[in-house]
Amino acid sequence: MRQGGKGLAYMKKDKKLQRIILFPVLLMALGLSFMIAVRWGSVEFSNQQIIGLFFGYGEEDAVLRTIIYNIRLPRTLTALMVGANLAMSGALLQAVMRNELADPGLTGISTGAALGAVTVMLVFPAYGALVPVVAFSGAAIACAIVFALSWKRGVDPIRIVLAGVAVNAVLGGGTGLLSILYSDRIQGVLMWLNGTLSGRSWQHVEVLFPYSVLGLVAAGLCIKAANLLQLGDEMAKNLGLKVHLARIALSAVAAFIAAISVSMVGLIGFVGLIIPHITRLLVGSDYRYLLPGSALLGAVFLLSADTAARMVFSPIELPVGIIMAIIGGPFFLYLLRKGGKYKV
Amino acid sequence: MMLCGCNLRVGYDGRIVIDNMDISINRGEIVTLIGPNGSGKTTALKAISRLLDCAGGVVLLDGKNIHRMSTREVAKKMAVLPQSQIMPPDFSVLELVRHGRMPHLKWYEVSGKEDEDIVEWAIQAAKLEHLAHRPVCTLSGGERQKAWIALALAQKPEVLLLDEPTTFLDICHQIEVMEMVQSLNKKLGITVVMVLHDLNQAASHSNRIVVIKGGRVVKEGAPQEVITPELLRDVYRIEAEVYINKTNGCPAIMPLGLAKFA
Repeated sequence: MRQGGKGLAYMKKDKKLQRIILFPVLLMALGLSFMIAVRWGSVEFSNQQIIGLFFGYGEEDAVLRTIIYNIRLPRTLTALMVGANLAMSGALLQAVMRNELADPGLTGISTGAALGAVTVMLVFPAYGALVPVVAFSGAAIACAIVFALSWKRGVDPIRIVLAGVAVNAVLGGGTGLLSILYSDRIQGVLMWLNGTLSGRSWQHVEVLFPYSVLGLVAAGLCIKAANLLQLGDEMAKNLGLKVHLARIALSAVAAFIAAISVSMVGLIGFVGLIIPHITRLLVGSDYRYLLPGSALLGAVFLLSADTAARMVFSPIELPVGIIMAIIGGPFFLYLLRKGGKYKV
Repeated sequence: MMLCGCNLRVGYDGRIVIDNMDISINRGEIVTLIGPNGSGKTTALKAISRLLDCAGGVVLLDGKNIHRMSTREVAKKMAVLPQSQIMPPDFSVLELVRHGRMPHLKWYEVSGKEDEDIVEWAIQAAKLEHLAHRPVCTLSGGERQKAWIALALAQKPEVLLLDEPTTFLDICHQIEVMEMVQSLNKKLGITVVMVLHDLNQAASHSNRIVVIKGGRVVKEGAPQEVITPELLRDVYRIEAEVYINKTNGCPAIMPLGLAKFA
């Protein structure tokens, strides 16, 4: 059992109050970031114009219609779904690994998706439309390899971590090799490797939406198992959980929702790591609150970061992954320094 | 017979720790497994509590093969407290103990009034009412151990298995935990199987003691029959005086030194 517990000010009796307050606040933040994302950009509109448009007015204004409906709205919805998916994926994996430093990349999906996507973009640029499919396949294969390597009469968290590190190194090397061999075509690849929501259209939303709903339901079904896994394998089994099956199922759900997201928008780091962390600080480790809280916060965070990515160096757009890494990195270090309670 | 392991053969990674062991627990008794470090007593406890798979033999819980039962069915009858526990740093006693109701809830069910009542009862039984909202990791070792026992109680088990429940506790908390276990056994009729290192504790709180050495049961019986200078010399390689404690009639040992073999 973990000793000590000095830095626990965040969790006393006010936890209940925080839980009650947090969800309406997050929903409001979601609405706010949504409005900002839709309104602001290289062309600005008024609140009336936008709200009016949603209620069927101003349909005849072609510029307004095109920009809001065809450009900003699908991009915004993509950001919301991807943010929620990645954050939930990270939260679930942290339960599976019993380690708050777990994130979706650990399962090999990021490097797998990257190698797939980069291969298409650099070697077979004519088949650019296949990038999401190949990226998803790459992610799935890499994840399967990681779990196959870590299987030995059940999956042990530490073996997953080590297998993940090794597989990531190999696949990352492959991506690096391709980037060097085809360095003349690297431009578009860089955007993808840093994660970008630029130009995400209704096509992306249509693919993401059903899978995100499916993922959300599946993740919801994982809540009890995630809570039990936090008490250790033996205690979880004592309490009637099929530990190995649960670990595989949770990992599969987490990898799936992360892989479908990454295949759509490229590699966006830190959402899966940091959002569950922040949510844990706010509502505690009970997944009944942690999981929906992470989803909401992840959606708000990624959308806001994407809006910032569009605005900061306007008219140049930055990949949202860069914004996430620049904000996320220092914040993560802050948590690491501050929280003696985190297992590293 | 409540729980029995027949012809058990258990090992880790091909190294056999327990071979050909028979162990049986009757309903309503307190049985303590003792033995030197590495003798296989924890392994035996894990085997009969299905936390470890057996390479051979069979474990019967109420006459049913435990490995054929769903792990959730087992969890409704049997609660196990492993040697070391982990949990998120923010869980309060109440939140921890609530998990004890998990085996009784189907995957779609949320805990109801009855479950909450049982949780409350378990916390009371462990005398932790005043600490119910405190994060478990801010509690002392003894209080923490009681919180985990409360979790086990919330399972409403018929049999409770404890792996070294008093190790690392000061003497007052050791006694508190032991008396709690005894009263659970007496008042609620919960069958108790535990692993203990302290022989005096084992002698004064058990109906029966099972001595394990080298993965085999070398002796079992009532404390007076088992705890003898000869056994201590054979099993633990120590010379000790054994006398009968006048207040409770249980044997007690006073170690004198390592045994000298010619």
